[in-house]
Amino acid sequence: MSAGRVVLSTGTLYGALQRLLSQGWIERFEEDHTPRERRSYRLTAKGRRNLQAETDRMRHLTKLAGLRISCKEA
Amino acid sequence: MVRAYRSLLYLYPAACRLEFGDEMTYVFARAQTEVRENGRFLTRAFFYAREFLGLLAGGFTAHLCNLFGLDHWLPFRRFDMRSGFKFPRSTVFLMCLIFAGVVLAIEKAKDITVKYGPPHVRAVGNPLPLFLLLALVAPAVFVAATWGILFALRRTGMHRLSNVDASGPQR
Repeated sequence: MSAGRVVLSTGTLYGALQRLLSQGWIERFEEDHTPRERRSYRLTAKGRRNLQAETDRMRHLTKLAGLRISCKEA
Repeated sequence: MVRAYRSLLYLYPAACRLEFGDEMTYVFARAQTEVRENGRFLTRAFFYAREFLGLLAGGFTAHLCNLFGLDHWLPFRRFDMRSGFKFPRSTVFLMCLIFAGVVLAIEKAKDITVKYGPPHVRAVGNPLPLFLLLALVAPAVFVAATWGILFALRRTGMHRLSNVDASGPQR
């Protein structure tokens, strides 16, 4: 997804998953024909809202940076 | 190696290990297979080092959260400034910790001086209030005054930020 730029250890990954689960941002769900050890996660409605807010925030920041750059170039 | 990984999972609290242990081992085994197939020696070494350190850090954080019941109260990984989180609370916690350490060290030094120091040193009064004034209050006053001057001179950048219209069309 990040083209190898972000590499997480399983310890870090599951720390984050645990936090997201406890905050109710993601939830587990069962997938058919998967090994017992493999679990799947998906966003909850709350998680989706937060993701949307974070995406908007980043978009806003990118826009500000773009304005700043274009001001300098002008 | 998977067995070693499974043993290292005992660094985590039991509840955490029971909930995520099998899953983590499964993910580690798959990642290890990929690295073994595609990676060179150095890549494999980095992989194992990262996994080991990740387990240590994860175990430590999980124990900390378990002890204090704080899932996101100690955002050690979040020292960056965010719009909804202007000043990381972990910084306040660390500052209090450091402050407590300094006060303890001063008290200890004072005890030693009183017990073993020469008579003229023993006669010196309590230096703690002066130290607090110099170390904490004076820098805070200095920073506040500097910021006030910069703000009055419109050099803090806040005025420029408030003038920027992010919703307008890009030039």
